[in-house]
Amino acid sequence: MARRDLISGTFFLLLGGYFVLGALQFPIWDRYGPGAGFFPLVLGMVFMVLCGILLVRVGGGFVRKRQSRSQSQDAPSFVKKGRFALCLGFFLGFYLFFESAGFLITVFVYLLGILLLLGKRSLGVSLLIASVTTVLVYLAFVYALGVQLPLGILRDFFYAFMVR
Amino acid sequence: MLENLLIGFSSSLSLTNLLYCLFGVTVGTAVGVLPGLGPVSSIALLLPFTYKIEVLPAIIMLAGIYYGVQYGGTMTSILVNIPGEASTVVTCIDGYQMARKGRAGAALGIAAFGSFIAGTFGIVVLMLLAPPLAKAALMMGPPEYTALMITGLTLVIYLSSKSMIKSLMMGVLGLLLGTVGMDPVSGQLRFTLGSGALMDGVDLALVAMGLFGLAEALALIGGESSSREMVKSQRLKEILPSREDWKISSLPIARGSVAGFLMGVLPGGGAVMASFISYAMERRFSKSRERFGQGAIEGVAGPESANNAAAVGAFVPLLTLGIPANVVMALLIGAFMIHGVNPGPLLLKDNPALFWGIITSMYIGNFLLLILNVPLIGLFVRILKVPYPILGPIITIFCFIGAYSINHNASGILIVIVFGVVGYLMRYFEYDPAPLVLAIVLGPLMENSLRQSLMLFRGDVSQVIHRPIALVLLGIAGFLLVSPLLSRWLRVGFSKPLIEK
Repeated sequence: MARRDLISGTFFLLLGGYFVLGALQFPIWDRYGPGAGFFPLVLGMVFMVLCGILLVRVGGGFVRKRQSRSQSQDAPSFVKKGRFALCLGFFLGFYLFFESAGFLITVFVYLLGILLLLGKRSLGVSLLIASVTTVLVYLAFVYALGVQLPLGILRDFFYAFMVR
Repeated sequence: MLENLLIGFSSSLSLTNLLYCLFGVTVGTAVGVLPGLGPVSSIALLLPFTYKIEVLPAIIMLAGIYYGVQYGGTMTSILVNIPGEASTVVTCIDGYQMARKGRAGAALGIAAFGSFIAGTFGIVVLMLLAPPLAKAALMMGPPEYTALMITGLTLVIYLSSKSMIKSLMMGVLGLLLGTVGMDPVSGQLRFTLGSGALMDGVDLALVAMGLFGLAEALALIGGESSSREMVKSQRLKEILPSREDWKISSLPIARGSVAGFLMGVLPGGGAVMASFISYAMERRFSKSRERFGQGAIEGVAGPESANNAAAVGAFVPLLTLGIPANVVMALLIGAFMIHGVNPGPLLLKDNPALFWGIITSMYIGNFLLLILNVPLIGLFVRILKVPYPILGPIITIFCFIGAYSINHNASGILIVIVFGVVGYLMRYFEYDPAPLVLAIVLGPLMENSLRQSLMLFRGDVSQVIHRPIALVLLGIAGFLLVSPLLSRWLRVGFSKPLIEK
């Protein structure tokens, strides 16, 4: 626990430093009153003080004694790092290809991949779920709710289809 | 009063108005279910259509969307841990845990009934006390609002289930994230990292979807398998709240209704802060605080009642003073003005049929929502029967589409992913996301009112002593912050002589 607090406290201390330095780029006080840098500067400094208190507590051994008793049971374990990385990879892939490849292709490939590799479903079941979900979600969002979704590389095909 | 109600019901119970009310609450429920699509965008989209209809059905429909959204947002919060609306973020905490334990029906049921009771309570108070409440709200200036927001945030931090120092850090970090984007006074861009997507600030819907929904999906798809119990087929009677649930939830519903309504009346307060404060209150009043975060039904009943009562409370300044309490109310003013009606002190005098018609339509709308939602609970609960390896990826698709649809830009998806990872790591490092979310909402409001206060005081903070309301609120916040230290000091102070002996 102390190690976790040390890591998170240090990270947040640096983040606080970023906000303080960033705030100093803006006027802190002008003739009308507080400037754009005032609020983030004050908050950044308070944040750094709080991080400092957390780190001092870790150093003083407070946290180890107190939190060894109350360690949460539901803190996720990082045992399956490979699965986590793969899942995150799918998320990032979705973001990267969503606009260029379009909704239909991205969602279909994303669902198929994630169901096959992480959901451990058979190819047939994965294909069925991926295709049905992609079409249903597209129809619901575009035609029922009027949400514009990117067609990507299928745009020309769709336009040609609509013109015909 | 009875005469006024009769005038109102005679207008709102016409077939046309009933149909508009049904349409509004149905659209509201659907919009609330979908993350990313909020009442603002749906009301803004429907506003042009109100040109063609009369003012009463137009307002009835738009108001129906507003309070229907509060109902709809609850479903996804409870079933899949994705808040459909910002005001239902806090419902995720215990509602989702109830669902994991096979009690989704009870959670949805108590949320629906609690919302109905709170909504009805709000309407009755709106009828009786609207003018004096509106005047009282006007007594609050920028210093009082700053103090109120500090107290609200401190209360949530104080009652957090995690370490106080870590919750404080999350509260301050949320306020810092609230400063991202364009400075409202000078127009300067702050902490945007050169990204156009951050110019309008960090969108709360994206943060909430990431911290709660995607973090859960990461934990369940990418991590270990779900420990959620399989939901067995049950009859409607069996999945609804039991007598024991009602006994536990009755006081939280009552407290949530009162607190929510009062928060709704205050400009800027609104449903989000009301739900967080109600949750904090219930933890404070509970004899077994350790149940909170593990599926306590009070943690659903209180906040759900509060956000619905706040939605009704927001109509007080609109109808009596013509002042919008939030963006949705500002859009409703637009709808009034399209038809040449000015909401405000003269509305009741000049157009009683319209005033009372709107109020009575809310009774009907709340009743329609109950009829619409309760029979569907059994159907919604069946969603949980789908194995998570299949349901999880589909949920993430909804998250991503919701994120994309906010600005029609894929950067929204990236922000959700970033906050999903942050949410996942926050669990590992044991940080509470609730103060962070509330602080992101309050950040811009607090900065604005703090700057106004400092201008008002000409930079002299000691001037606050002339503002008794602000002083009392700040005193409460200060006490909450030092009370853990004080209690530890008292414990050590009393136990020391015993140890020495």
